Amino acid sequence: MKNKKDVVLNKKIKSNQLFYFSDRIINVVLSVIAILIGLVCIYPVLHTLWASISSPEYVRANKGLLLYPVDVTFWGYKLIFQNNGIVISLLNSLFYVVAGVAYSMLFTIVCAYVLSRKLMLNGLFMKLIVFTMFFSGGLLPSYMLIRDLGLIDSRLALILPYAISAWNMIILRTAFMEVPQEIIDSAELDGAGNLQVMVVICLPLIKATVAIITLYYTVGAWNSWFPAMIYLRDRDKYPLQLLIREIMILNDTSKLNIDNITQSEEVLNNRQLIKYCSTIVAMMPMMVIFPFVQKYFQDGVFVGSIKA
Amino acid sequence: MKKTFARKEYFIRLKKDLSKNRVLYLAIIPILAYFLLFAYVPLYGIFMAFFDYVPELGFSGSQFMGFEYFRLFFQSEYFGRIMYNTFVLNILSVIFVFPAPIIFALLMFEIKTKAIVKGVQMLSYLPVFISLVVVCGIIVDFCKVDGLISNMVASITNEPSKNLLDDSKWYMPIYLISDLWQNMGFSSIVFYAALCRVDANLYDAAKIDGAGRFRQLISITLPSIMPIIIIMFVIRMGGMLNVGFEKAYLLQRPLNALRSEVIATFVYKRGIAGSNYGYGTAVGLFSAIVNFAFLWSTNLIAKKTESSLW
Repeated sequence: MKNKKDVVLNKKIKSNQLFYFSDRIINVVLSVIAILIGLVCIYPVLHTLWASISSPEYVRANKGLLLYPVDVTFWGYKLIFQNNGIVISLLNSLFYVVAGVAYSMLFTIVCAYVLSRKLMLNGLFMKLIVFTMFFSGGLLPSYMLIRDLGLIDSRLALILPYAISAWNMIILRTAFMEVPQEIIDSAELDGAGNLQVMVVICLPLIKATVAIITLYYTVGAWNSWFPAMIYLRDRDKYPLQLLIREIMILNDTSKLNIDNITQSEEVLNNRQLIKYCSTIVAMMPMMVIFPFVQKYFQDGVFVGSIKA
Repeated sequence: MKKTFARKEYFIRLKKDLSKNRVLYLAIIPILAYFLLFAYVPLYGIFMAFFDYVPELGFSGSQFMGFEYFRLFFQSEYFGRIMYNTFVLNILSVIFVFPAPIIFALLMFEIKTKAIVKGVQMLSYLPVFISLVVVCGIIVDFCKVDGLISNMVASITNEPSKNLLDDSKWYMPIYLISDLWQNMGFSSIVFYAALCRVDANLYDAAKIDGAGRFRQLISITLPSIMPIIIIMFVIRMGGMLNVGFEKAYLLQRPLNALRSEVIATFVYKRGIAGSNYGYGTAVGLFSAIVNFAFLWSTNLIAKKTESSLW
């Protein structure tokens, strides 16, 4: 509260300082609501995490809210990694993510850079690309195209069609445009060609945006399952999420085994535990990356909120 | 005379531009090729909607159906149910799920304790990184007999625990609430960023004039973020018939088909699973046209308020 000394010394009161008592009450009430929302957001993840490292017997028997792990054991994880279904699909997913993101970022950065320069045909190019954001042939024509290209049941079918997301490209383009023209001009005076300007000058300046776009592509590639479902036939090429779908939604753990036919007794008895463990495996990479990139969000995504 | 002269001048300038920026134009050729192949060629496939398309025979060999597939779709027994599900789910989503990130952003903005704001924001961004498969897997697990949520519902309604996904009247609430859970935090970033950019002097001036917090909210905060809200609303309305295939398909079960069958799942079932390419494309095309109609009309309305998509 304001006291005489402050008034006399004319101390400036910060605008977000809680001055009035009613302000404080409101702040407390709102904070409680916010914290509750935060807990609800994270609880399903926590529940799954605790359940995955609890003892199998407890998981089988327990029906209610899990507030902490019971009898911590990693036996569940051992079980799912024993059967090579999960391991192969994990490696597949890794491949799709690394290859896909590299491919996407290359195309998106080049596209965004060229479209951010002053070219006469850029207006036309932008219109052509934005058009594709709103209109697409739909599911069937895309399927026919992949078929006609002979990419059915090929890993490339999950990578090639997804080079550029127009939305991400526009965010990156806006970031490129915000690099001050003077810096580029002085670089060109010093003899820098387009490649040097893009890589040496601009990219370091828009690191935050590049990081966020990379994150978007990574999350997209890791989480993608539907293209794999319609284009792939060979189980050895399945990404992890497709296997998760089998285990969690189709309730089918039979394919985890090497011979694809029999379920081992262990697997049968611990299906619930397997579900929890495989869920965590599917979520883990994103959860791990998340804190590191969280700091970029306050700054980087500002760009996306400006009308493109 | 003037027109041809201007056009000639344009081409001369274009040639100069091309030679000056040779590298850039060269670099964008593969990118244009990519869009041409993967975005524009499938557009050509829309014509499949008017043929009984058989891939081996191509367009020339397939029988021309005209608007037959559209007629079939409108008259089919599924039409009413599919349109109802898609529309109602979307409208409910616009009413309940669209405002949530805005309200959440306002909540974050009004709380003055920075630590709580940062902490809750971080927690709220988490669910969006979880794949839809995992989210639906968790939903299936929590809603099965004796699952977490089924038990909660059972204790409230004093009934034995049942599989919520087998009951079609639970489908839409489950769909919407899980949408809310997953997307509210992340979607609020855009609005929160807009809120932070509001000039602080406006608030100070209002305080001097005696405005209380609520008045400040109505007179300063909301009008300042109105433009971004309208833009996001127009974009949202452009997806009116777009109940995303993935989630609807993942949560769909034989017993809740009454409410879970939407346009996208129907297209998938008939078109890809049933190999009826013409019919599937026709339904998809219909949905795309209606979407665009919504987008266009909502943008027209938005134009009157000075902030629109184009």
